[in-house]
Amino acid sequence: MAPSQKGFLFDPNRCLGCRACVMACAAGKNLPPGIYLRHVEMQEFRQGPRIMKFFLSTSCNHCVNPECLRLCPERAFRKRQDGIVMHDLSKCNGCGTCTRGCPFEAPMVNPTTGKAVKCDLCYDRLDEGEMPFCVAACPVQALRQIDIWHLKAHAPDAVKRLHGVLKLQVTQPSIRYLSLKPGKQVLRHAGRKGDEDENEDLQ
Amino acid sequence: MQEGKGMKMKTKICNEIFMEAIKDLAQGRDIPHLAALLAEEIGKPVIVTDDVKRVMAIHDPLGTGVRVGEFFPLPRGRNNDRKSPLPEDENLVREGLWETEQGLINYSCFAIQVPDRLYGYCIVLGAYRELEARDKMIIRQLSLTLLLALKELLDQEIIRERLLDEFTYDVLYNNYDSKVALYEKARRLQWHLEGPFAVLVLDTPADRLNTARRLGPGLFNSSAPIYTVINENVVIILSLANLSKEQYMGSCDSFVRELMANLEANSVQNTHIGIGSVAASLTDLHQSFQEAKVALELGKTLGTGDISYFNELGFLKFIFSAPAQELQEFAQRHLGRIIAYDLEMETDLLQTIEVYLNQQGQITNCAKALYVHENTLRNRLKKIEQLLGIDLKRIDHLLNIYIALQILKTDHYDEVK
Repeated sequence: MAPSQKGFLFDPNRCLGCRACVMACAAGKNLPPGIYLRHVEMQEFRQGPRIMKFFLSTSCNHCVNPECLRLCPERAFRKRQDGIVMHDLSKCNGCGTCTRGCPFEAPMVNPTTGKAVKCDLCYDRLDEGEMPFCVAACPVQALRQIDIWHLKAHAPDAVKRLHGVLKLQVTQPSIRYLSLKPGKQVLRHAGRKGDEDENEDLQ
Repeated sequence: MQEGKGMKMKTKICNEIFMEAIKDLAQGRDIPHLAALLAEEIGKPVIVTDDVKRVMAIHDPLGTGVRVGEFFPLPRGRNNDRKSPLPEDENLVREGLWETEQGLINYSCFAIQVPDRLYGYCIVLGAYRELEARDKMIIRQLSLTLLLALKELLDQEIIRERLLDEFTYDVLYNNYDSKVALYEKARRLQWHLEGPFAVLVLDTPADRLNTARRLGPGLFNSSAPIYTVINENVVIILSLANLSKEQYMGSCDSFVRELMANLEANSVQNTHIGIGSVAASLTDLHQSFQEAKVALELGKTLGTGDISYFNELGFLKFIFSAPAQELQEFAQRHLGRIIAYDLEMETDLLQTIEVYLNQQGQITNCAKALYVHENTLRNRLKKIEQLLGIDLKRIDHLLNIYIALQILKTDHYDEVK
C-alpha cells in the first residue's frame, strides 16, 4: 500500500464562519445537543498597522503521532493504513485521558454514552468515495479533504500553521492551511444580531 | 601469430568461467559461491559488498587470515542511494589502502553497476597494476553475474521490506483486530517475538531513508533488529530479551553509536534519534513508538542533542501539550523583563542566563563560554537577579527560568516540511 495520510486542507481566505461544517457534522453523526466534533473560531492578530481577522475551522487532525493513541489506557485508539485515527467505543471506558492529552482538545466525552467521541473523518463515507460531512457541507470549499503526503501536487504553497494554531507541533497534525492573504478574507458582518448567542452555544 | 593464438585461447578460458558462473547462478548458487569462484580463478582474496558497502561475501584462497567487519570501509565520495544516477563513464575501478590487523593492504575496487544504478562493489585485495589482463577480464565478466545476483537479492529485499513496513505500521499504530493474528503474522515474517522491546525512530533526510534503513548493525542482543520506514522516518525495533534493566541503556547506547558511525561513514547527515521507553510486549509497541517520536521532535526542537530518550525528557514532555497562550505568559512572566532590558540597553542578559544554566552554574566555565571576565559575569547575574526579582541560588527560581528558556526555544521553532 502506498504511504497515505488523510487530512484536511483549510483555506482561511474563503471561510465565512457560517458553521455549516459544524452543523453538518453534528447532524450527520447524530450527536447529542451541545456536542460538536468541529469548531469554528474567529482569530484576530495584529500585523504591522493592520488587524487581521479570519475564521479557523478545526477538528481532530488525525496526527501522525497521535497523543490519544499513546495515552489511552484502554488502547481504544488506532490508526488505519490511510492515516485516519479511529476510536473504538467498545474499548472506551470514558476516563477522559484522551480529552486532556490531545493538544487540540479534539476528543470529547459524550454525556449520553459516557464515552469519548471524536472525528473519524467519516471513513465510511470516504471508503464509498464520498466526502466527509463537513467538507461536503462547506458552501465555499474552504475545507477540503486531502492526502498530506501528496499535497504538493494540489497545493504547493500550503503551510503547516497559521496564527492561532499551536506553534509546537510535536504530534504532527494532518492539516495544512493556505496562506493568509491580507484583505481577501470574507467575514460575516461583525456584531450581527444573534452572533454572540450562537458563539456561546457552540463553545 | 603465436601470441594471437594464445590470446584467443585465454579469451576462451575466460568465456568458459563466465558460462560456468552463469550456469551456477541459474541453478540458484549464491553470492558467496560466485565470490569463491572469482577468488580461486584470479588467486586473490575477493570481497563482495552491496551498494551500502555491507559485506555479502569474502573468499580468501591464499589463507591470509584477513578479517572484515559488517561493512567494508570504502572511503566516501560515492553516492550510495539505489537510484543514484551515476555517469556512464565513471571510473569503474579505484584503488585504495585498507587498514587491517595485518597492516595496510592494497585493494582494487570494481563498481558493480548499470548506467543508472549501483548494485555493489567487487573488491580484490591487491594493487590494480598487479592484475593481469586476463584477471581483469574475468573480474569484469563475473561482476556481471554478481550484478544479476545482487539485483535479485535487492528485488526480494524490496518485496520483504514492503510487507514488513505494512505489518509494522499496523503494530506500531495499534491497527489490528486480534492478538492471535498479530502474533501469527509476526512469526511468518520471522520477527523475534520475545520482548521486551526498545523502539528507536531515526530522522534523516527523505532522500536517504532507504539507505539509512540498511546501514544499521545486523545483530543486536543475538537477534536481528527490525528496520522499517514509516511516515518518512526509519523505525528500528530492538529485542531486549535476556538483558537486565541496567543493561538496557548501555546496550541501546552502543547500538546507536554504531549506527551513527555507519551513517556518518556513508555521508548520511543531519540525523536525529528518538528512543521510547521499554515496551513489555509486541502489543505495547505502539506506546513506545509514540514516545520515541515525541522524544525525537522535542529533542530537535529544544536542541538537546542528536539522541533523545523519552525517559530523560522529564517535565519537558508536558510542554508541548500545554496551551500555547499559557506557555507564552509563563515565559514572559519569568524572562520578560530581561528580554525588554536586552532590547533597550543592547545587552546579552538572556544569553548570559542561558549559558549560566548550561554550565551548571559554574562561574569560571560560564565566563569562558561567554568570553567575559568572571567579575563581568557576576555583575550581569546580579543585574538579572535584580530585574527578575529572583535568587539564582534557589532551585525553584532556577527551575522556572529553565522552563521559560525552553518555552522560548519552542517559540523559534517553525518546522517547514
